[in-house]
Amino acid sequence: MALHHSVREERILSPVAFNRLLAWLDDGRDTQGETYLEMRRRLVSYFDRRNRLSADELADEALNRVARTLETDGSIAITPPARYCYVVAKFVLLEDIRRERTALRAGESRSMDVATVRDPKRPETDDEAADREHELACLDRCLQTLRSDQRELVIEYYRDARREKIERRQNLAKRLGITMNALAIRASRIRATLETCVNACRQER
Amino acid sequence: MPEPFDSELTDARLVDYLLGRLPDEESEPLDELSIADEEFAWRLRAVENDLVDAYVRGDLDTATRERFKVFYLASPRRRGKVTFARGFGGAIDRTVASPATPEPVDDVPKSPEVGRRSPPLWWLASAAAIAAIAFGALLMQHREFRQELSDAQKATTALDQRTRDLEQKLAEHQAAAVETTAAPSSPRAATPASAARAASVAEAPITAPVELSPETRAPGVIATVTLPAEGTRAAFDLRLESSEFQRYRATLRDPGTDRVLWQSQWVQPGTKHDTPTISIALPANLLKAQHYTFELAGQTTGGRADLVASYVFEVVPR
Repeated sequence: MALHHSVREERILSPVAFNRLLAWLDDGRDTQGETYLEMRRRLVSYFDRRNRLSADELADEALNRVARTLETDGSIAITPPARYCYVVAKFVLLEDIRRERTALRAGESRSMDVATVRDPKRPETDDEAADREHELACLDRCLQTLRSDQRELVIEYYRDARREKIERRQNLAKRLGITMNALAIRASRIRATLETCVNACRQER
Repeated sequence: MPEPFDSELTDARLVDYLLGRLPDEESEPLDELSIADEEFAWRLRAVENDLVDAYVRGDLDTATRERFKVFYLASPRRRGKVTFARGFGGAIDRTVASPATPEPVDDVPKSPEVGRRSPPLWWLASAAAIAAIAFGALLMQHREFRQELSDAQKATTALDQRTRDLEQKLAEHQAAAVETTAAPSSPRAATPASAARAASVAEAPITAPVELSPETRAPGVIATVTLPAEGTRAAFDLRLESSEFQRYRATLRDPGTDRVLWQSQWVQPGTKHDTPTISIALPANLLKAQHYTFELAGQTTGGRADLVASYVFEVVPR
């Protein structure tokens, strides 16, 4: 395994290397890149849970290293592909932690992001109000792009709170003939679609 | 290779994982599953969505909410999830409150040859007129409602601003009292009243110092401090990984609101147990049972404050 690369190396893969990576991640299926996007998302979440400031860059670095290994070695023995991605990601994480410690010792300070979620008690600025209105408009629009059964499911799943929510979900799972776990996953997928739609809509502004 | 995803793994355990409360040996297998196991990855996502929604709705217990503020909200990406959840919850509530009308059934024939009878023109015109009137009424009602909402929001805004002004003044008074304490010869201690106040704070008994280490990325136990008695000063020793600066300043923040509650003067590091340390003491009446963060900044040669470390601790009731 060729894992001794610095994070600052060239990130852009050649089209051939990228397509090989997609095919390897698909592991026999053809998901049109969906597996790659999902894997990248999981890696970003992993680095983010470890409070790395550059979670996106680290995820790209991990996938680039996998792609370079495929190029140089031709194949990867560790299966399934997702597990190998974790192995590489763990190395990338440890390197990033080590790099940060070295930088701190050298006198650099870790830039803290002191922004927080807006305290609801603080009055909104005009910009924040405009952003919120736009996001709400995007959400309404994106909800309408769902299929009616998806929309009904996500509304039914996420409405109410506490006890009412639990009972409503149990009834919904029973009605659909699926387990609670399967229902949770289905709702999460739809919510993920909405998040992607809203993020794209917000970029249009 | 870790065991396959155990569906008996409780949601509570996954919440602990998401809030960084698990030790390394328990969180690493979950790290691997979060990437390598599709079912687990989606389940984790579902639990995270519920956690964020519960925070937005105010449904978390105190300890979990405080941990959420300190740990989960430390990441801009995760803060974005909370912002999305706020809007998403509102959109769901709005949809539940005003369900969409059923989609109209398309029974208009495509071609006269089909032979289906189409509604008379006068009926269609009447229906259109009724719909227009109803729409107009709804629009007026909507405008009135928006006006009422706007008025209520303005009143709330004014009240919130007044509250913030008062809170800010209180924080300034408290900070000034402490600064006067730290530098009794400073010009700020000019008046007899402020000098007397500063003297009383300076003479207040000081608790045994609590040692804090810089916040690390790995999950660990957060230092706890028992709520000090009124009229005392709570002492802290902030351990440094290195002492590259001549002087340091500590800022106490409430992580939930990001408000600065107290700030020390620039002080030189000392040494305790062979470790460079910044020793500070602040009025105990600033603290209550919750999490806090100290931000430690080093003073550069240009006089700028460079953030070097943060320290998280929890105050627990006596």
